Amino acid sequence: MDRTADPTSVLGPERVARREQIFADLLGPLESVGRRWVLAATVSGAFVAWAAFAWAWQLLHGIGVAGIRRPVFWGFYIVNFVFWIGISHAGTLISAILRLTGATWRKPVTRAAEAITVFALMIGAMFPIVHLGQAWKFYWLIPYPNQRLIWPNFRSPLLWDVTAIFTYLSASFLYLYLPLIPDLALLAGRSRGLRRRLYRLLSLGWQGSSREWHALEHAMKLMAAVILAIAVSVHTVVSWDFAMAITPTWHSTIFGPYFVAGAIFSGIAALVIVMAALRRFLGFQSYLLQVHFDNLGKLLLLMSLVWTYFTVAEYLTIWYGKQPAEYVILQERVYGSYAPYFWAMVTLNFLLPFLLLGVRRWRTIGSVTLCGFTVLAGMWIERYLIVVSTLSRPRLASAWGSYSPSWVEISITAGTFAGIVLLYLVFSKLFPVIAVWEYEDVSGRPL
Amino acid sequence: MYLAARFDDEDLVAPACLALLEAGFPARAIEVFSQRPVRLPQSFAPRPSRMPLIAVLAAVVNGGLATAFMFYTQRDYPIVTGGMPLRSWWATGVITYELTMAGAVAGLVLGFLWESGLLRRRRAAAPAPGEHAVILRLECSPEDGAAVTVRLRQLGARDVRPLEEAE
Repeated sequence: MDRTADPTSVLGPERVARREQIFADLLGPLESVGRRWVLAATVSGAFVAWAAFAWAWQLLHGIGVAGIRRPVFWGFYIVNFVFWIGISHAGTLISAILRLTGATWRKPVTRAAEAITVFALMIGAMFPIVHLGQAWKFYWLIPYPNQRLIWPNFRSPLLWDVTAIFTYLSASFLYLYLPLIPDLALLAGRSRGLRRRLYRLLSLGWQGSSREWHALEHAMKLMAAVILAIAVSVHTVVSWDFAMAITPTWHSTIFGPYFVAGAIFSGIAALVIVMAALRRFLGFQSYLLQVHFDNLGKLLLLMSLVWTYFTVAEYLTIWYGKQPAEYVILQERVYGSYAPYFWAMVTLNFLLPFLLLGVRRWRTIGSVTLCGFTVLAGMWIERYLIVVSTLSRPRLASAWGSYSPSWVEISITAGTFAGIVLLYLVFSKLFPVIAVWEYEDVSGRPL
Repeated sequence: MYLAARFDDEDLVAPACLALLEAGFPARAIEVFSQRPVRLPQSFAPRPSRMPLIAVLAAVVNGGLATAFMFYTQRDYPIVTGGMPLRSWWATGVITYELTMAGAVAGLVLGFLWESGLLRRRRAAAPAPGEHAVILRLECSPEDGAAVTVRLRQLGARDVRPLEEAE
């Protein structure tokens, strides 16, 4: 790349200096590894290693080391599966919706969101395999005739899951990768050695011609439309894992939209937290501004209200109908042994966001980030309530039971939270987390 | 031959393109290289994209193949589950949908790679635009080279150089 000519003569020193500053800010984190990064990577890596040990322990000693017992056969693993698939809606849905609606403020936000999607999906998709116990038999789900010439049962919601997640993961990866190509070409011109070769290979020979730019912009608009349809379907399919069973409180027609709303809700929360971390640790204060947090805060508030509406609709219908098998679960959740979880969920998902985000004066970067944390916690509890409280109260009272997670499940759960931090740390050192080519300066002109 | 005209101010590129069009150069002879999208006049818009068509075709083919495969496997080894019919559009519809969308995504990416030219062999060498400049590449006859160079300089190009043809 020609970096020798002096552009200041025509562009003016101010504009060139601003561009140089943007390059330094957005590409700078890729060039060095600080002590804080090493510390964060070591701590999160240690948690991931511990989780790997816990999983190895389970593989060695069998699924019995987990806390799942009759009648609660779905515990932390399935809670985490639903939770992480929900988080994965951060990127694709938010990025795609904002891209299609032409929201220009999305530009510093989208890549961070798209990366969350890919990482959260990778983690979420792992949980059904962990839950299998005999994880090495996962390949039985792959459609080829095995030794007994039996094909997988494509009418099973579990096969629906496999297909939906495969499609969503592939599409999300490509949705992250395509707009990364111009930045990879830029990086290839600025780096040396192995990195240069890696970036050149990944940039597919991108030259920056008007034909390439036109094709990329067109492809991204189309991809946004397609991926929206996929994202909605994926969490609907996850909800159907529950709704297709004739189990009290699960066999509900609103589970699809209820889960999708919850997924977008938790996805925005995750995005807010990642943005706050990028601001704090990568020094992106000039890029991730109050306006971004303010807009995402409003979206978070909107989704909080939508989630509350669905929750009320779900609970009110059960309360009014008073079918014994369903009503007993509602009572357990609202007044019984699961009441602390239920009221914590209501506080974290509705009351706190409503107070902190509803009042304009209180909608600061700090309060929006705090709401991100409360919503993530609240949504995890919501998944826990849906899975565990229902299974612990089957139709026959003689079969009622309880569930408490073992150290293996807790370790693996903690490891996945550390895992997404670690994946993000590595990503932030390999690729710019804000799209350099998409970023526009304050005057609205391209870089 | 190809000429590479370097513009330090991207605002000059679109008027330069228009001026070249008015001077009789076809739009296909003009190409702009930059590290960020540069808005060009409407007359430079490529022909209507085939990406949607490719995506729809790939979606239909993949969805169709997926459905045929599921129906074949259920005939090959009929498993009765939950009293459902062996070949059920309802129960296989989800997988049909997902794989239809997977086909659309694959079609879109292939369409992008083809239309952007990333999959194709390039005729002319590409100039490196640099971090602050925009390069306008112009195809012209060798006899016109000198005159076109002067014209490009008049249009605001800081530097004009001939480019080699690609191998």
